[in-house]
Amino acid sequence: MMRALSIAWKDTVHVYRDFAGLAMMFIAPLVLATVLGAAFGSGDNFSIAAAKTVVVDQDAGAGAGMPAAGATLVAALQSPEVGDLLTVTEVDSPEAAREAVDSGDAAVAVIIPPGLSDALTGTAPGKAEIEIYKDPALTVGPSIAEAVAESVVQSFNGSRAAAAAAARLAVAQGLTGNAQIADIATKTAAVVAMEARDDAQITLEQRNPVVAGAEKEKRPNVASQVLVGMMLFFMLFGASVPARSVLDEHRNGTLSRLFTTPTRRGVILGGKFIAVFVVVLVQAIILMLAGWLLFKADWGEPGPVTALLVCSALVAASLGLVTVSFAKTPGQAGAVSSAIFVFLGLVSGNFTGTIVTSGPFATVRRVSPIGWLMEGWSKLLYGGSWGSIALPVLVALGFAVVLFAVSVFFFRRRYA
Amino acid sequence: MRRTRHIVGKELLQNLRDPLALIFTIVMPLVFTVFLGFLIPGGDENESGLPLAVAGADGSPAVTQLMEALEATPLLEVKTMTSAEIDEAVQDQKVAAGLLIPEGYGAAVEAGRQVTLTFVRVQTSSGAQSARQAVESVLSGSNMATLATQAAAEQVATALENTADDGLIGAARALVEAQLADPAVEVATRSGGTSVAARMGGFEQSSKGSMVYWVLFGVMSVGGTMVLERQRGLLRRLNAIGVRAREIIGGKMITMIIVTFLQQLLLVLVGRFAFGIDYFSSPAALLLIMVSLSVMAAAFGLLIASVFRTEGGFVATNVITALLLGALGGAWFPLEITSPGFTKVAHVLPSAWLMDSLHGITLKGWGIADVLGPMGVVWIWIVALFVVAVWRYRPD
Repeated sequence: MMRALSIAWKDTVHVYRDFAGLAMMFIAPLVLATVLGAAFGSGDNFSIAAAKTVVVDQDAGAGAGMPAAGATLVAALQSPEVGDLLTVTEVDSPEAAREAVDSGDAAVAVIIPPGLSDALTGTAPGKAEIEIYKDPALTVGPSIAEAVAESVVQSFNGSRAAAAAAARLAVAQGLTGNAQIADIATKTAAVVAMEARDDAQITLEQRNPVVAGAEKEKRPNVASQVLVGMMLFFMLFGASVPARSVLDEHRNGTLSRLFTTPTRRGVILGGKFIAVFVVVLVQAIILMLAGWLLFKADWGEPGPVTALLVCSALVAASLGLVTVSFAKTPGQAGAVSSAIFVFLGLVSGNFTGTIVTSGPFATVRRVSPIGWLMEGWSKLLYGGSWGSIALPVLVALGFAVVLFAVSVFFFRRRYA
Repeated sequence: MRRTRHIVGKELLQNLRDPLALIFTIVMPLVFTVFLGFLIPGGDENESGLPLAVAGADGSPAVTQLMEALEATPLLEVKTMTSAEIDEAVQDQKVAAGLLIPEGYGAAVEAGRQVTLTFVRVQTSSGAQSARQAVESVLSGSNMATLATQAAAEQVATALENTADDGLIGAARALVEAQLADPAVEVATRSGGTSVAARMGGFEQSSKGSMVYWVLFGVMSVGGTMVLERQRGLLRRLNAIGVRAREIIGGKMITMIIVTFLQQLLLVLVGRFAFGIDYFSSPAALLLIMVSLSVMAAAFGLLIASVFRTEGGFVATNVITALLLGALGGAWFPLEITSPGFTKVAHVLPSAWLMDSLHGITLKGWGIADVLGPMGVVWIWIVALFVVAVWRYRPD
């Protein structure tokens, strides 16, 4: 056992003397987590850049004393409620508005037609059309401007519908005076316009998901969520560095020399396997501590966190070993493992995290042990405990056992 | 020149015989394109896509009406779940978001009382943001219909010096719904650019992202060979027999440019013919972008092969840089969903300008004149990388 530990110690020390390996293990995940965390807002807040919006208001209103519908829409776009999402500038003509979008100066243009108020009051025939002219390369910013416009238009159409319905209802109820009917319609429209801005009957509140077993909602910060993906991804590279030492020693002839010593080959390989596990475990602990210090990551309860940490290290170590076990040279091992790790990172959501959400993705990522680990860490970050990580841990451990067995088989076949 | 040609020939042959180079240059970029293309929500608003889990469908008329309205929204794919299942489904990303309808919703709506629904989402999910807008639009329509009905019924009742009874409210609702079915004002959304059908979608993002992200992996084989050749003293031997440094550098650079250009060409052809991305709207602009991207990758490959003495260091730097350029430059996700200031910082890097230019030619009808500015930034990077690479180059 001491011999195995001696070999493990030698390989571990060797890893920490390799600057390139250290950069992959520590610098890369922390830099990427910092950068991607900054991309989606610092600390606890998720934010996106305000979409540059140009608006042209050609509506002159429906008559003296009546508010112009176009001005109402412009005011809604410029309201403080959407101030963080839209930066609105008024321009003079539809051509200027479209040009601003085409040239990339604006994300979206809202073009209010000349007869908007007249269409609403019925003094002009036909319908009015508010045009949303958007940059085709963008989706989020234009959709926000579109949503604001839709909301105001619903209010316009609602007021008009209420006024018309009130007039017809008045007639149906036997009221005949034109002035009285007009008065009812005007008052109805005014009530709808006024109350639409105030308390809606059905409102929507939002919250984060509450994990089974957690007492209340927990909101993890963005950087810690990104760090989990990066940590698991770069742990694979961390495992492959000491795992490749088997091939390095084979190429340099030192492995053959070791085999001539009175040490069983199983002990030699066992020592190397221990080194791989220790290296990734230490890597994960350091990254988690760095996440706690730099990003104020709240990883969760110590017990489940430790279990998942050890499980992650076992999975990374077994993946590192199995990808190296097929290769013939260190160079081949480096390239093969990089390809496999990038693919696993892709299908497991290490790069995209929760940015891209869709039903099939939840299924696809479960083909990878890293996907299961991502699921487990996500549950802990959202306040989960033993119950919520049990399945991810068991499945990931199952993967680790199988992968380890495969790597042992190939290493023994070649060296034992 | 003859020696440079020989080096290029040898490198190309070596690249061709290297199955790993094939994986990094062709297989992985194609897998990335297809996989991310399916995952990223499409830009087509008629496309059904975002799964929304709804709990609390108790069968009351108000809930049935709400469910029908949600199901009629093209952007949403409604799935019914229990409230206990929703949190887990959202957290595991089985659905884009969840909607909890509280007990007594139907009764509250009937009675005209206020009621609050709960939208469960992961904060950073762009799909959840889109789903929320769609849900809010449905609720806004419902609120407006209710408000208009009540206002009409109450005003008429007041005129009749009476109170609005169920009969009057029912008649008002029918009239309001008839009016709302034929609105006086509509919102029409149009995209700029030459193609009316052009929209940002999943494959638009993943195809271009693959080009920009994987191009650095395309130089891995040639750059790695250069590091090995230095380690084994081959570069020094070449130097000793009179092959000049510029011939070696030229040979390596040209090979990397050829390999990455062919890699891009394959991705462009797949993007055009498999996913309908309009890459050929301006062939000259596309050619300039592809050449710039290849030369940039080659200059970068040469730089790290010159700086790093071990294969491990070369591979590590290559992978980290590709990840950074991809993440920062908008190759993994659109920059528009990032925080204020991030987009500006991202545009220090060549990858962001390359992505902008590719979006420009496929979605906005950009021509050669439009991409000259962005490519100018890329070429500043190329010159800087190349100068440092040549400065750092040593045959031993």
